[in-house]
Amino acid sequence: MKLDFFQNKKVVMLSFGLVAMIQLAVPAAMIIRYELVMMQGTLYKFRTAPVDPYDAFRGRYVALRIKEDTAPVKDKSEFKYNETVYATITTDKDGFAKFASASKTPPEGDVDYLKVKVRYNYGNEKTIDLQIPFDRYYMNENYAKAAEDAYRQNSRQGKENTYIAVRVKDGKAVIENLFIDNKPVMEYLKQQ
Amino acid sequence: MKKDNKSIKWLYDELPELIDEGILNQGQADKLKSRYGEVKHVDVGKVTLTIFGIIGSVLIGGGIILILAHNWDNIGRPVRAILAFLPLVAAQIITGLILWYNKGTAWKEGSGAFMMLALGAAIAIIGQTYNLGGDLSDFLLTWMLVSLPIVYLLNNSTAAVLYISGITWRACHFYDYDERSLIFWLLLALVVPHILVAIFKDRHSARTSLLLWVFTIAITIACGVALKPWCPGLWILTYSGIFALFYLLGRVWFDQPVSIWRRPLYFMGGMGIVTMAFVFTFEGAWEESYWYYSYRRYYAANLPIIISAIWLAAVYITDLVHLILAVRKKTYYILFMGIMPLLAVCGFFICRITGNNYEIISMLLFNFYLAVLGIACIVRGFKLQKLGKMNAGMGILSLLILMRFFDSDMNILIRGLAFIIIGAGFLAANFFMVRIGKKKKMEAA
Repeated sequence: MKLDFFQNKKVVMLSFGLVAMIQLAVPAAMIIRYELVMMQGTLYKFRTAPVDPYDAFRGRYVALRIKEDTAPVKDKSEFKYNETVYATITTDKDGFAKFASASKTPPEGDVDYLKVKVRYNYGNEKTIDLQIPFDRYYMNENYAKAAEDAYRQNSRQGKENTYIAVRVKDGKAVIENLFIDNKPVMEYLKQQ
Repeated sequence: MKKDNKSIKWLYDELPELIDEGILNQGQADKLKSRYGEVKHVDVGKVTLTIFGIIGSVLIGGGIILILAHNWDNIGRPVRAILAFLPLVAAQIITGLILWYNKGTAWKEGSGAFMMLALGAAIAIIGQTYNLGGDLSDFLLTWMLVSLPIVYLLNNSTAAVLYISGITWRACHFYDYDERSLIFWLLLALVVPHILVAIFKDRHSARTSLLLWVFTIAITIACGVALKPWCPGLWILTYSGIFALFYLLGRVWFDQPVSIWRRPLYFMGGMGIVTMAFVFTFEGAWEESYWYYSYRRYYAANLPIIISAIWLAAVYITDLVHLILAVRKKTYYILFMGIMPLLAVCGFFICRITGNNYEIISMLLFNFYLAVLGIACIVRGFKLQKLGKMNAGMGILSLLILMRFFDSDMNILIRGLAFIIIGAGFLAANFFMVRIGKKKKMEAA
């Protein structure tokens, strides 16, 4: 019967070895994937806006929301909620990043883009709202609260000088650092 | 008919006395023993060890996760990545050793639980290190899928319970019957073989019972979030069907006289059927199924809806098969509860087809049904001399009457009288039962 097959020690140890490899492979793959982005990705600065946070499972972080989270399109009705799109990135005159266009296929050539999902395609403007994958910056929990307060104060109307530095490669992005008042967050907090 | 462990143990305990009194001789006693076989000894020490093993590993695993979740700032990324792996590698080494030396259940359950938590920690810590966003549902999906092999490799039911909880939790995260929640059923199917193996080994063991409890509760929750209704009021059919399924499976396949804790299918099914029947005695429930009463959008036929429809059909077909089986086996009493979904279907279609005004028929149908069910319960309880069953039947009748009283506008005096009458009825019935029971004993002696 099937059960006897699994009592054979060799089979058990072999299966275990296989399972162990897979279990190690999954986190390892994640690490490799994102390390590559960090090492080889292009640096972009995204301006950020304030937001309210909550996540029990994964430690403390500062919740972020970027200001320019829409992409102009020719025909809004083509795009549905939760559909995957590829948004190309350019920089504005101040050197901050924004999205230049969005399409259903990856763009050709040597242009940087993000693979994201559509959040919203209502409204009158010829743009679609995107679900941006970087919405949090993890910090030592002793500092996360202070950082969050500082972040909120500095991203209100009138005082818009918070941004995140993001490495982008092949549609994936990793946050490198959070800047408040043009200084890296830890430096800013130390000066307070 | 198979005798259960408790009865066999009792018999064997009686044997020495019977031999002393000359009722049996040793040879006959031995024949009895070989006929009924070994008594299964539940080694209390082993069970305790297992439970403590699980608790211990969960605590250690949880503690490690919390420490690592601390977000060590000053260590560079590569070091943090390695930290993520440590608990996982440690868990794997421990599990490997346990498999190699073929250690017992306690070890396997504990290490399996630890490994599962270490996996979750590894994925979570990497997410932290790289500031990855993303929903809880994706995290849960990855974690659960990669942990699933632990269930089969170690025959680990703790991991199975965690797995089922995880996928159920994930299914609750989607709004408005999103397709992605339907994957729940596929994920659930992946752990079913483990449950089946436990059932085949011993359908009333602690392990099987625990698995079935978690299984039934998970499905009950999932019926609300992981199915896509294509018309309003479908929940009436869905819940009736699935609770009846639990009940029928429990009655037909798990019919040994053990405690309620060891009969999750019977209990969940029974409670579900009675609860839904009570809900259906209110007009409000049936108003849901008007053809034109709907503030929810109608969904065009697409894959999720087709899957949900097939699911519903499968449940009802299985119900019908079991009802036929019950008739064949001449266990007609099962039909009293088992028929409920068929009545629900009738009620549902009465409303859909006729619309306004006629949902009263459906409502009355269920009032009648519950009255019959209550009386049937009382009669059967009386026949079997089971006080509990009789009281359950009376409970149903009383609750039915009380609900109708609260439903209409009657003055307080009458309601007070009603309560007194019902209470008196309870006492009288109990009193009679005990009297008759005593009389029967005296007649027998």
